[in-house]
Amino acid sequence: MTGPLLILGPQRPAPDLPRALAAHGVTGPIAVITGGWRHDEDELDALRRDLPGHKLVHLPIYQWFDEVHAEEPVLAAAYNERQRRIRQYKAAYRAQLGAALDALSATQALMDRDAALFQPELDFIVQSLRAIDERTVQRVNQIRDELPAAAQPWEYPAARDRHGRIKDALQSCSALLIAGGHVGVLRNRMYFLGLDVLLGNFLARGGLLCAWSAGAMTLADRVVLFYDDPPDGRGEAEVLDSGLRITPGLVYLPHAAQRLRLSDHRRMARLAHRLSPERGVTLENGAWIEFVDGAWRSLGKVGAAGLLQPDGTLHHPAPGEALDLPAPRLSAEARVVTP
Amino acid sequence: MKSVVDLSRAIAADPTSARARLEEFTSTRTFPILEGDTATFFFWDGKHTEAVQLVHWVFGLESQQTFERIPGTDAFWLAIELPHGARVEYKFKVTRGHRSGWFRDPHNPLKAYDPFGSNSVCPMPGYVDPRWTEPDEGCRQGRIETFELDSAAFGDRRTVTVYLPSEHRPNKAYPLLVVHDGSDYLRYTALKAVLDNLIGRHEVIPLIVAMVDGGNRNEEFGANPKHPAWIVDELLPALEARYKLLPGPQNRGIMGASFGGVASLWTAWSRPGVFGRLMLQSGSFAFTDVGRHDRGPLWDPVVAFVNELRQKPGKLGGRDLRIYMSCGQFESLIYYNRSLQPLLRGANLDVRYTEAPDGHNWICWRDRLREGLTWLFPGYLWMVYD
Repeated sequence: MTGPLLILGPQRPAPDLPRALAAHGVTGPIAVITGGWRHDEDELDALRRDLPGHKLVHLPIYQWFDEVHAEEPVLAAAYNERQRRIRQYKAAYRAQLGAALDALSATQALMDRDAALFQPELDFIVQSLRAIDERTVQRVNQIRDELPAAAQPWEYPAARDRHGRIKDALQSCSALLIAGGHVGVLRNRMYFLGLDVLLGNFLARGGLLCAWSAGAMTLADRVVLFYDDPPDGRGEAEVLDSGLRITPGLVYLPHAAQRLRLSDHRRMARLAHRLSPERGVTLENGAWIEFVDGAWRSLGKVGAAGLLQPDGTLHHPAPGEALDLPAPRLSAEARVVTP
Repeated sequence: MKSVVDLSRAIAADPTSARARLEEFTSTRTFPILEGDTATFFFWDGKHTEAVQLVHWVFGLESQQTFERIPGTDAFWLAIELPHGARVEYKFKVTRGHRSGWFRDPHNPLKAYDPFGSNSVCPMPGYVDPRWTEPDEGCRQGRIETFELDSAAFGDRRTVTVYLPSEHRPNKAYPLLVVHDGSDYLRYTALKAVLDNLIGRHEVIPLIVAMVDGGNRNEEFGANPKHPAWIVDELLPALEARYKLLPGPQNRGIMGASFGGVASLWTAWSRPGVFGRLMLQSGSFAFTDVGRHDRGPLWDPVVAFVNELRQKPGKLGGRDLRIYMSCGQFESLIYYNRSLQPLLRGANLDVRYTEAPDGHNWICWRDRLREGLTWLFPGYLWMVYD
């Protein structure tokens, strides 16, 4: 029996984590991952305030990653080289993306003249964008394959030790929380310590997994970065990397109201088509969707969660509404071959 | 303008309807009337009026432009062309009998404030009040605290106002930004809300901001040798004693507008290697190629400094020094700023320069804060979702 999987919106200004956990009767120790907070990952005061009476078992993956790097210089060198190459490669991805987005804008402008004539061209460019996004995940994995020394970090004693500590902690906890923060750091460090496998096992064993903001983003097949109006640059979404592949078919978009031009339906439709067949799920403070007893449903505040529609609008599910979304993947299925 | 011409014709055709038409005209429109790139200013308050002039600070336009009277009335109008996206602050100079006075536009609710009072505002199509300047309850609030500090350099006691980001922890080190005219930046640019928003949205990294004011501002900020001594030898150690600050010039910024821009650049120039992030807004960087300047004795040290800087811009530092410069296109200082930035770039300094169709005012400086601060202290906006 799969444990409950809870996806929440940002926990500010009003946290709904206590209500969500209480709704599932969580009483035992709760494991907590706050690696996205980086240097501040051990500042759990706010969580302790929000969850009085619960024993929090902190899994300091940010710190453990640094410790493993210090203790395993060969692994650290291979890992750093791999990350350097991935960052370098991303310049090519952005160049491809920029060219395709320019073509998309130009073709969209032509649509006003003769939609029937240009629709196939528009479809082609959207397919190209999807292909470019898909390819970047493949290429990043390919770059990882080229440096196998960093492919299985937990085969090194220091990493294996931390991996074991996480495994033991999860055995003793009935729930695991994954907080938001720096999504790249969180994603990479979770993979580094083998959490992709452990999370699936934890859920399969009936444990409750609750993630919000960046924590939720890491659970998807792909991590997509977005910011429509940055102070610099064109503000087009980018695929960062593969996610932990726990929740297929979904791309989480926390803080969407602040980060996306939601009222620009044409632009949002472009994002929807680009993400397709995956569905964009916007998450504002108060959003709460969960997979329980084999089905997704929406709880939480009305309007806080939104399902991005092909026309660029959002469907805000009503409280208790069942959501037609793919079921989570568990255990080995969830694992990516080359983290 | 067409609506004013129509009004004028209608009144000419039926002079007895003038008052009713003027009342209807002024109560059903927003002013100035904006059509394309033309702004039509309009004045009528029902009182006898001899003349009206537009007082503005657009360098390059006649500074007091005379309105045209609608015949047979005390209503006046003036149409001028302004660039797309421009923002102009203005007043009306109204003459009645032998007396003249400056007034805000009675039909325009838009106002801008500065230390001298307030002006009416004409935002042309394309100008947008940035959302990031408004308090956002979704962003955590930093806090402001003050402390007093004796200055041996200036022989007085000064108040230092400090912004601490919401996440501030005493044991964690932060970058520092020193702001000249800090009180005015807080009051007229909504600097606290801007910092809360930019830090809250991860566009700017959390930083500590120390805001100072000059005693005798123009004298202190105008390339005064005592000023770097105050900032570097007195303020900086006091801040380091009170707060944990990240070391190195790349983690220390200094900024200011107008003479505050001079004070910032002068401090960085006098003590190279201390400040590696400079934000210079409408800097009063007057210089001479030959002969004397005509801006008065207050500017003598400024001109001497900028002349020397132009000879040796490399003294400021190397490529690791990052400078953000901005200036309004409607300022006389635009020429100095325009000519300074390629010179600094030529010395291999990392310079970003922005012009805006606005004037020498606090809103122009406010509107550039996002671009400047995100360039100098970039956050992880693409990566952080908390």
